[in-house]
Amino acid sequence: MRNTKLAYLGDTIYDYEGIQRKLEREALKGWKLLKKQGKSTMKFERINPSPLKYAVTYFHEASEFNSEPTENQAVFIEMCEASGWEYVCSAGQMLIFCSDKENPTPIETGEQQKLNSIHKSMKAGYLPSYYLLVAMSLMFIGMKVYDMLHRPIYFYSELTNIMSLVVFTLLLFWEIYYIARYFVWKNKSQKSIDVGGGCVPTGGKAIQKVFYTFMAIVIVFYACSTFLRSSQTIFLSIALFVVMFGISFLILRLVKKSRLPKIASIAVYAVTSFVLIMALTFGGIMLYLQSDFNNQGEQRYLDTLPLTLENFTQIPNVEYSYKADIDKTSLLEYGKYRQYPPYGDYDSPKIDYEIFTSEHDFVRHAVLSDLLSSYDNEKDVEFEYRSIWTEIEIQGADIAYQVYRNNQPRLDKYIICKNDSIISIFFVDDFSESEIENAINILLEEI
Amino acid sequence: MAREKFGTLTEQMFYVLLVLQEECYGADIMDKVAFITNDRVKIGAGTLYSLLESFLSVKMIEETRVEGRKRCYKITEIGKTAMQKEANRLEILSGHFAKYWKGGEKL
Repeated sequence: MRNTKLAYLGDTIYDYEGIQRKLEREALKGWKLLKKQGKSTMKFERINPSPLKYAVTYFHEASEFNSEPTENQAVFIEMCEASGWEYVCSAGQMLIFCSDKENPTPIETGEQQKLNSIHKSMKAGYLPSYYLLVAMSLMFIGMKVYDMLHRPIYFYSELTNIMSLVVFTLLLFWEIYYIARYFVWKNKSQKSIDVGGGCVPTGGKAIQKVFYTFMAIVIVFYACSTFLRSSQTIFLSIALFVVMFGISFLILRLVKKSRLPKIASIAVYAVTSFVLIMALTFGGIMLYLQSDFNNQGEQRYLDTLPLTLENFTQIPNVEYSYKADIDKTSLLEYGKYRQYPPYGDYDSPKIDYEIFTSEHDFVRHAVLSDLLSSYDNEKDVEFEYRSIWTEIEIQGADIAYQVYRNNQPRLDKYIICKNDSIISIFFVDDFSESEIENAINILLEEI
Repeated sequence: MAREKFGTLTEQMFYVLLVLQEECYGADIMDKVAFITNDRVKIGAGTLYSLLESFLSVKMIEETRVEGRKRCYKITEIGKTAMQKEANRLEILSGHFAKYWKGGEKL
C-alpha cells in the first residue's frame, strides 16, 4: 500500500475555498498535505482519516524564486502559527496552513483584507505569468498565421502546423478567459464587500471541465496522429520538449538552492533557461539536419515515383536513388519526388518535382499563388531581364504556366494544374522538347 | 489619504487600534481583542497582518520594538485622532438611534 500520493489542486489559484474543501476532503479520506512537489502538483502522506481544517491564504512577497521565506513572510507565518495554524507549504504566492482544532479562528477574518491580499498576490505572480502566456500564444499564433499566408505549402502539409495553431488558439482563449474570469470575480467580490457581504464563489467549474475535456481530446488526437506518422522530426520535437521541461525544473531548483535575492534568481533562471533551451533546440536541429544530409549522400532509396527518368529518356547505368517524401494532412498532400545519381556524380541526369493534391479550393489557390510568386523578388528588374510565370497551353491540363523572360520561354520550369492536383517540375538537365512533353503527359495521367 | 482610507473604521480596525493604546505584538493583539469582546470579535492572523501593514503605511501606528520575529506596535497621534473621530461618529449614531428609533421623537 502506498503511503504517499500526488494530486493537482487546480489552476484557479484564487479559489481558496475550493482548495480548502479539496484538502479537507482528502484529510477525511486519510491523506494529509505534505508539500508542493514538482511544478504544479502536491504531495500527500497517508494518515488516519481525520477532520483536519485547512486555510489557504496569500502573501504577495512569497515566490517560487525565493530560496527561503522573506523576513515579512516568516513574520506572517509565525503570526498564523501563534493563532493555532500549522504552516504546511507554499505554491507561488499561495500559503497553505492546517489545523487539527475543531473551530480554529480563520486566518482571514476581514473580507476586504482577504480580497486585497489575493489581488496583490495575483498582481505579483499569477497575472504576469498569464500575461506572458497570452503574449507567447499570440506570438506562436502569429508565426503560424504568417506560415499560413506566406508559406502555405509548408503550413497546410504539416499536421504539426495545423495542430499547433488549433492548440495555441485554444490556449489563448483559455488564458484570456482565466484573466477575465478573475477580474469578474474580483469586481463581484468587491461589490459584495461594499454592501457588507464577502468574497463571492469563484464559479466557472463546468466551463473548466468542458475546456479540459476538449483539450484532452485535441492532445490525444495530436499524439495519435504524431505516432501514426512516426516522423523523426516530431519525435525529436517531443524529446526536446520533455528535456526542456526537465531542464527548466532543474534550473528552478538550483536557483532556489543558491540563496540569491529574488530578482537575481528570476534573472538567472530566465537567462540560463533561455540559453540552454536555445542551445538544445539549435543543437537538435543541427544534429537532425546533419544526419539527414549524411544519409542523403550514402543511403540509396528505392521508393516508387509517379515519374522516373527512364519513363521518358535514356539513362546511364548508375545506381539511382528514387526518393519520395510525402507530407499529408486532411487539407493537403504534398509529395516531393527526386531521382538522383550517387553522391559525387554530377554528369548523370536527375529529376526533381513536386505534386500537391487538395480537395479544397482555398488550399489549391494558396499553393498556386505561392508557387507563382517565386519570382516576385524580380519585380524591380527591367522587363527584358525579368522572369515571369506565363500561362501556356498544355493538352490535358486545366491550366499551366512556364517561366518566360522577355516574352520568350526561358527555363523548362512548369506549373501544371489538373483536377485537384498541382505539379511543379523543373527540368534542369537538357532534355528534348518531346522528352519533356512525354514526361508531362505521364505525370498528367498519374494524377 | 489617511482620512480617505480610514474615514470610517471597521469593527476589527477599531479594536486593533483600541488595544494598541498599549504596546502589543501580533499574537497579543489577537488575544486581547478576543478577551475584551468576549470572543465576539476574532481577528485572523492574515487579516491582522494586513491591517497592521495598512496602519503603518499611513502612520496610524508605529513599530516600537523587534524581538526576533516578534514586532511590537503602538498607536500614534494620527491613530488616536482617527479613533476619537470614530468614537464621536459612533456616539452620534447611538444618540440618533436612542432619539428616533421606535417610539422616540417623530421624524
